[in-house]
Parts: sequence; structure tokens; C-alpha cells
Amino acid sequence: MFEFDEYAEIFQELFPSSSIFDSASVIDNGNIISDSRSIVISPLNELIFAPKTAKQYLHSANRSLGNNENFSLDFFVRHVLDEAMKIISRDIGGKGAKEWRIDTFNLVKNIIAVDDLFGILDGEYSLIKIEKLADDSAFEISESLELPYGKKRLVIGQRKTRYGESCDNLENWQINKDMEEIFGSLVKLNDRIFQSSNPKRFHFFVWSDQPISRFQKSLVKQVFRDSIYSNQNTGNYVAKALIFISKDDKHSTNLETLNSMERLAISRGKKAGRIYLSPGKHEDVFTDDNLRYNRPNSVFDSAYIEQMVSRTKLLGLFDSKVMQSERVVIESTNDLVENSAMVISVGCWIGTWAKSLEIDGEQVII
Amino acid sequence: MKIQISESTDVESFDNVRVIDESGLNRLLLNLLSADSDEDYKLSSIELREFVRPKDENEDYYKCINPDWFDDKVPPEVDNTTCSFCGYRTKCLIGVEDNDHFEIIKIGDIQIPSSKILQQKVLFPKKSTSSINMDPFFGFSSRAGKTRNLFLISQENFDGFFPNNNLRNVNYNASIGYDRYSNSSIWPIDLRFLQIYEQMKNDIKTELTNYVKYVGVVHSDFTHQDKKALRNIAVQKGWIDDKGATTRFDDLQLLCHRLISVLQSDRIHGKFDSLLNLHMTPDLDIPLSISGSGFINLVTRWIELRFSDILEYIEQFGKIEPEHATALKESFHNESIGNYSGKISVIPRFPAIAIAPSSKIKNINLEQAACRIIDVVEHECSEVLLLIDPLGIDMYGVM
Repeated sequence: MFEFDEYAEIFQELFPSSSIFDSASVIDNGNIISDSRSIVISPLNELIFAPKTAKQYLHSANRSLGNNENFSLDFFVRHVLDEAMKIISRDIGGKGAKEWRIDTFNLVKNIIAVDDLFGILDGEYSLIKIEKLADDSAFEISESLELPYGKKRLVIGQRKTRYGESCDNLENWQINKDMEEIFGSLVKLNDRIFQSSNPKRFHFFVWSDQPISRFQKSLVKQVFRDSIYSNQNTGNYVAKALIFISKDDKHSTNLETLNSMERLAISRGKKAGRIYLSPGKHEDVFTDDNLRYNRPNSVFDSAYIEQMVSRTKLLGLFDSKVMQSERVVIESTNDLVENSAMVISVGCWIGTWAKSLEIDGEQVII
Repeated sequence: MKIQISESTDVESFDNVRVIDESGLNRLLLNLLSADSDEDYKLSSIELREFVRPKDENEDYYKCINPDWFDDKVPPEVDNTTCSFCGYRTKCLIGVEDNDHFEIIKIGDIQIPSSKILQQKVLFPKKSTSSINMDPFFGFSSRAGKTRNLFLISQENFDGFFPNNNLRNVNYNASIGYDRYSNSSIWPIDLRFLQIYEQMKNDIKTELTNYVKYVGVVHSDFTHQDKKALRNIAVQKGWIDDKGATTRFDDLQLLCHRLISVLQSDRIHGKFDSLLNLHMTPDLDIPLSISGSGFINLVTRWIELRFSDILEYIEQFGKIEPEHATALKESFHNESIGNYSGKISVIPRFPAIAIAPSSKIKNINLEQAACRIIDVVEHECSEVLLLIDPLGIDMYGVM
């Protein structure tokens, strides 16, 4: 079961400054950059093609560089490339320089998709390189600021820094003749990068076996809130599956089951997510005083747990890696509901490489 | 089979046009010819298109691919006749013969779905109201949006071409390629290792034949973490049993010490040093769920990826240390030597779209040794098919 409006309303209440999209509007407006975080809510079966959706978002030109207007990031990147092209064309000709410019612009888009904006001027694949020169003395480090093109490099400037002093990437350079314009464009690009905010996208793939309004409200809110806050420091695109499951001791036919596409979608889930346990008001952990006072530990040995385990077996989830997760008991007794439930919240692999030593590895061959 | 990329539907000719009321058409064409500004031309084009376009419904109609040229909020349904009289006909890509397209090539004896199914369900499923077709391999292939071949092959046939020697429970998510020599996936560190290995292959082999110099060398003990990582992989691979097998594990440690010495020997000129000292994230940079030091990780990957080196080495030092060699040969009885003799053994993991009958969806693995499935389309065919983007690799050569 998937109810976009219900989920969107809860997210909007919790995160009023976020932009919230459904799948169709994301595809239509894939390049829209929100001022803050953007939240996409899709049905679980769409997790099957989540890597495709994520790549289309991360690698789309406008998302990466902004619109082609004055003072957008795109404008400053183009300015650097135009200045570099003027000099490079003297060496390799206009045609070669133009090809370099097109390739390098595409490289910048990939850098942003994988390394964030800061990767443009700082990092393994950045536009510029800072090389140590061999004439190091005992007291200072000599460096050269270079812009690679093909197998050659434009040497923009040199600097000497005393040991123990630190300076930013573009500080303290003695600029070579003819390189003032390109250095100026790099400084402007650097400033623009530091002023830019690169919004983060959260993509939730949600399934519930009955309307979300029948689940404990504090449970739903905590799941949604944790899903955002526990992923603040991860990559630019976070995909999570949220699966709301009700206890079904009477084998009710009203509860939905997972179809084959949804089960397949869950295989994108990584282990070590979270399982939220939410016993209903008639469970022994509330009706039995002894168990009630010993919560949350008593929850793990209750009849409720056994029934939830058999429910996950029925749904074909019990042996899946998403069950290898941390358990969290919902402690709120103010808004207890009739139905006992649990939620599986798990991060999903979408094929991005931010944490890997390799970039865009699929295309690397030897 | 040829399928256009940048169109909302496949229009290959404008031969069969509908009959249009000539008097009305002449007037509107005249307006178009006499337009004296861009705005005027646009308004005349809008009027002309509105006059010509069909007003009924038909599944052969398709959406105009350039709605912004006409200030359309919702692209209207048009047909070949509308496009042939369009004011922007010469600018539009629709129906242009050399437009970018996919050439679908089948491998093996399979029943290929119709072009309509491939176009509307597999390649460009209408998951939005957008009239623009996004190449499904955008972000996966640097050739996305451009003319290229896509290969359609059954899952069974694909598994035959790319056997899987990986551990059963390995996590493929971060795997970046497939090594045809060892018939297994490779991870980022493997790729770097194999790149250096290929450069230094002759020196490595020469150093392995210097086995005598490693016999009798006393090695310091591995750290607790390294032992844990080695034991973990050794148990999973069946090199030792999970009950302890202390002697056999000692033999394995001895072998690893010697292989590390080879990688660090003078002959190799420190080529592996940066890799050996690297921090490696489990399940991301290496396929191991527990990471040891770079030294132990690299050596275990060497054993798995190029087992023939290891076997050759064991054979040689067996002449003077037969008891170690016999124990190691028993440990590695499940390992096999690849027979691949081509020049390039490493290929990327191909992105693929699976086309499957509903009854077989449950058997699909989204992450496989030699491919990653980026979408699954339900279609009543007889077997699971994979539509593969070869990422510029010569698939005829590979298969």
C-alpha cells in the first residue's frame, strides 16, 4: 500500500522547509535544485530502478552546475575553461582545445556527482593540481599550481610555504606571465563554490500493509525523523526503504502482502538498518505490570515479538539481510493504538561511489 | 532492430499522410510564409499544427517532442501528418534517419520482444508525463544518448559466458568489474592490484622462482586483526575448516608472509607499497566483510585472482619443504586455475535491464558477478532476458 499524500503531509509537518516530490514530478523536474533538502517519496517497487533514478539526478547537467546564467556555478566553470582554452589552443590547436573543454566540462559534472562541489578544485580528480617541487629546502615547501590537459600541464604559478604555516589552495601564488586571467577565474570559481549550497536528496521507498493512519503516530514520526537525521553526513543522495508491518495473529485478509517486485526491491537494502518495535495497547507488555515496568527489555521476550517474527516469515522477509538491524523500541504510551506493528528502515545501495577509493568504476578497464 | 533514442515514438517515414482540407491548409501555410518575426512565425505554426493535428484518439499518435517551441504546457498528441506539415519540421529531430538510436542485437537463440515492447516498456517506460526520452543507461555509460549497440541475451546464456567463482554470500554492490581469468568480480583495490600486477608480471614470476631465499626466513607474527581477517576468508573459501585447524592455518600464514615478501622485494621496486599501506573499507574497496591490513588483504586477493602463481610457487618450494606444500595443496583443493588467455582479462560490470515473466522475477539477482541490473520489466516471455549496455566493449570479442 502506498499513499503519497499521507506521507507527504507527515514529512511536510516535520520538515516544513523541505521540498517534497512524488516519483513522476521528480522525473519531470529532475533538474530542479531545491534551496534546502529535497525529499522524494515513491512506492517500494520503484526501488528496483533506484540506481537509475539516482544516476539521472546526480549526473544531470543542471543539477550539477545550475542554470547557464551569469553568476551561477556553471558560469564560473565555463569561465575557467574558456580562459584555459585560449592558452591551450596555442599548443594543441583550436579543435583539440575545444574537445578538451567539452571533456573537462563533463568531468566537472562527474566530480560534482561523486565528490560534491569541493571536488572541482580540491581532490584526486580536481581541475587543478598542486605539485611539490624538488627544490624543497629544510625550511619551506615549494609548490607549483598546474592545470592538466591531456598529458601536459599549464603551469599557472609557484609558491613557497614555511613548514608549519598553512594556506588555502589558491593563496600566496606567484602567478606566471599570461596566467593572470585564468588564475583570476579560478579564484572566482573557488569563491562561488564556498558560497554554494549543494542540496541533499532523500529518496524514500515506502510500503505499508494497511493505511498509515492506523500505525502509532509517534512511531511514524520517529521513523521519518530518524530517516533524515541519521543520514545527514552521508552522500548527496540517500535512498531508504521504509516498510510498515502490522501484527497479524488472526491472519486477516485485509492486510496487504508483498508482491514479487516488492520483494525483489528489498534486496537492494543493506544490512544494519533499524527495526522499530511498536506493541499495541492490548499487548502483555502493557497489560502485565511486571512486563510493563521492565520495558523495553521485556518487549524482546514478549508474545508480540514472536508474532511479528512469524509475520515477517509470511512476508518472505525473515531471512533477508534487512532483518540484520539494530532494534529500537518505541517508548511512547500516550498515543498507543489497537494494532501492534513494526517498521524496517534500511539504507539502500544506489551505486554511487562517494566513499570508495574508485570513481565511476563501472567504466574502468585495463 | 533499431530504436530511436530521442523521440517519443518511432517515426521512420512520412509517406502515409492523411488528407487535409486544402483550402484551410493553403491559408495557414501562406500565413507561415509571410510571417515577419519569430513570434509571428510561432503563432502561425501553432495555428497550423492545431488545424492539422488529429482530434480523435489512436494508439499510433504520440506526443510532440518539442512542446516548448509552441508554448505548450501539455504536449498535444500528433501524428505523422502533423509532423510533415509542422512549421519547425526542419529543426525537429523526429523521423530523421541518422538520429541517435539503439541497435538491439540478440545473442543466442532467444525470442526478442517486439520493438514496441522494447521501446515503451523496457527502454522508455512512461513513468512520467515527460515527452523527452532519457537514455536508460544515462549515468552508467559515457555513451548515453548516442547511437550504440545494446545486446539482448538470456540470463542462462549470460551466466555461461561469465561464470561466477565468487563466494556465495559476497556483497556485489561496490564491485566494479569482472575478471575473466578468475571468473570473479573485482573491487577497486583488485583493479589497482591487477594494473600493477600486469606491469610487473615477469618480475613477480621471477621473484616467485627465488623461493629458496624465503625458506628459513623468520617472520614476525601477524597482528590479531590480520589473523582474524585471514581466518575469516580462509574459512569462507574452505581453505581451513571452521574448527580451528591450527597447523593448516599456520601453513597459510607462512604462505602469506612469503607472498608479502615477494610484493615488497627489491625486484618489484616498491610498486605495491602505496597499496599495501592503504586503509581499505570492507565490502566497498575489497569484497571482504572483515578487513585486515593492506598486506593481508592484498595477498588474499592475489591468491583468489591469480591462483596459478600461488600453485606454481607451492610446487616449487615443495621440493624442499614438502610437508608445508602438501598441507597447502590440500587447503586449496577447491581452487581452480583460469584458462583465459586473451589480452584484457578485466571488463566492467555491465549495466543491464532485466525482462522477466512474472513467475521468474523472484529468481532475479539485482547485483550479479558480471552485471548490475538497473531495472526490471515484467513481460510474459519464456525466460529472463538481459538487455545490456556493453559500455564500449566489443561484445562480439568478449562472447
